[in-house]
Amino acid sequence: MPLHPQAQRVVDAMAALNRPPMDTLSPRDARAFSAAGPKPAAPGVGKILNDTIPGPGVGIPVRIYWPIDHKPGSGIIVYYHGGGWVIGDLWMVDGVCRQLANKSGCIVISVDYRLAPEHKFPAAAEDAYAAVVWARDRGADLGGDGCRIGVTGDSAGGNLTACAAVMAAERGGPDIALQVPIYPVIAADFENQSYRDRADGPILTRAMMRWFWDQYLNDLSEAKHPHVAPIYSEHLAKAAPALVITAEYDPLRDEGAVYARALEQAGVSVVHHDYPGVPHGFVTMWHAIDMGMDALNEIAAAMKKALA
Amino acid sequence: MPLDPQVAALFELMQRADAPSYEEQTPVEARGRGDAAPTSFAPMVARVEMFEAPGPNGGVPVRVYTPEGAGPFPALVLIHGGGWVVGSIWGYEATARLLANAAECVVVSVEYRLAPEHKFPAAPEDCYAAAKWTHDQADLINVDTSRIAVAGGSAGGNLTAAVALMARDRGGPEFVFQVPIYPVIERDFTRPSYVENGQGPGLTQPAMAWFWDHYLADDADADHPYVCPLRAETLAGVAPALVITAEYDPLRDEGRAYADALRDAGVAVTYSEYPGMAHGFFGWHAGVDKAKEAMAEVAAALRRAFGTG
Repeated sequence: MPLHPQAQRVVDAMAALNRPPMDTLSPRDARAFSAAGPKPAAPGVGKILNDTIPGPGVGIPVRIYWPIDHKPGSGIIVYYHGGGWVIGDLWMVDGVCRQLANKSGCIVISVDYRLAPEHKFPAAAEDAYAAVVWARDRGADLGGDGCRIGVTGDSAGGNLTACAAVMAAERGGPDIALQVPIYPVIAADFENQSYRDRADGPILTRAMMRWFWDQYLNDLSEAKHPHVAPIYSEHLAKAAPALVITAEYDPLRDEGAVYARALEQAGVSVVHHDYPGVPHGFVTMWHAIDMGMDALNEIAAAMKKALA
Repeated sequence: MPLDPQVAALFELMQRADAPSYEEQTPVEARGRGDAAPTSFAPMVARVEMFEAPGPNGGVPVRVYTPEGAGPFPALVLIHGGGWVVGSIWGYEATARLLANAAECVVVSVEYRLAPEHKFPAAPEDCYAAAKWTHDQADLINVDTSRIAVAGGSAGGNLTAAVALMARDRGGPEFVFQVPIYPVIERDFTRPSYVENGQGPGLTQPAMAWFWDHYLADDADADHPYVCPLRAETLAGVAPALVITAEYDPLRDEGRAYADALRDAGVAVTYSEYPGMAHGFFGWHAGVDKAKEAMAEVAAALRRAFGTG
């Protein structure tokens, strides 16, 4: 289907800013420009705490959300923001986390993992995994249940979602009840059909993705490491059940589908939902694109069910 | 004039939420609830970045907002409220962006340390460190060092007055303007505005007593000029000011007293009391018309002070 008019409006507004392509910027400028985007009005939640949890490097900043009317012993959702492992922060997904907490009834832990190129692979993946371990070990202190954990995140955060799931499978825990990679980065194949169809966007381009990969990896030999490209994990069969969200107008659509298929072939229960007519990033645009809110509802409902 | 109907409606909503008052909670609980309030729309700016200013006890996180344009820009050091105990730069996201755009300046929002974990003088020292960093790192953040101002609401207004004094006492950075918004000025609960408004709705006398108790390690600190600027030997030489207060606010009269003291010391000051408004109204720009007026007044005053208005 054609690009949805709501998505077209977002794409037009971004084009009107006339910013230089991200892949021509320094990481500092890329971060500064992306953080400067407008922030939607977002609903109140029961409680929010900023904290720092132990990580393999320095401490990892987290922002923890309790839903309105939180019930003790609820499930816990770990959220990884997007931004190609290079940009993005807790602020960018504040609204998404508020929505997910209230809609799912779960505690949401948003993770400020280390960014590239200052911290290349495996910093982000190890931080992502450390956050799941912390959620299990300290979940009860938060008023949740550390035995009922879901992981989710968008774009590069979807990559970290899948990586945390395969790392937990490989390392014998923590148990993850559901993984929801949202239009995830899975494995660099710049010539697959969706990359060819959407090489120039909207929103995300092939050149941007090449730039992100270059920032993240120490060298290209890492591209098939299972903690970079989770489809290469030998432990997929033991990975958590998945809801994989992809978008029609997204160069990453095919790799999301490849991940869903790989899980399925390994015998993992998978639902793959491809949202038609919307671009990469549509879920964090929930305030402007109704289908983004639909996806948040779908993710929250799946978490609620899996973590019940 | 009576309490503004838009403010009355907000208070009714808050009451229906049935949140416990500050003094019934621990500081950690109060922070958790405060941060959880709904957020209002925050408009686009050109750049947003996090830095750390070197402070007396480690880095002070600052969130720096840059408007569209070429610069170098004037700068506004922005200090959030919350009784020195609660609040964070998160709660000032929309305010910071609105001010950056309206006053065409770089806004440096300061994540100073909170009490009771960090009592006086941690907060003013951190805010001063952020102001000094704004001056010293002007090239990094595209700022003109000759046009720096400071502003903040409530406890942030108190810290605004403190930092203005510290800058005078320590030989810089030189501020061209200060905007204390319904500032806390003095631990004195007997002024008429406390008697009239101390039981709410909104900010109450017991809440203020709770904030003060957490902030000060020692009663004698209440007389330190960086706690109570009225105790300064003189206010002469501090930055010119726009002091904003609200009619239905226990802090109204101490804000006015600060403006009077500035005027007596020969400092150029504009005192602007908003009738029908209550403590905190400056942040209610999403639903209260007079908050938008106040934002416009502050932006216009800043632009005049920056030489761009």
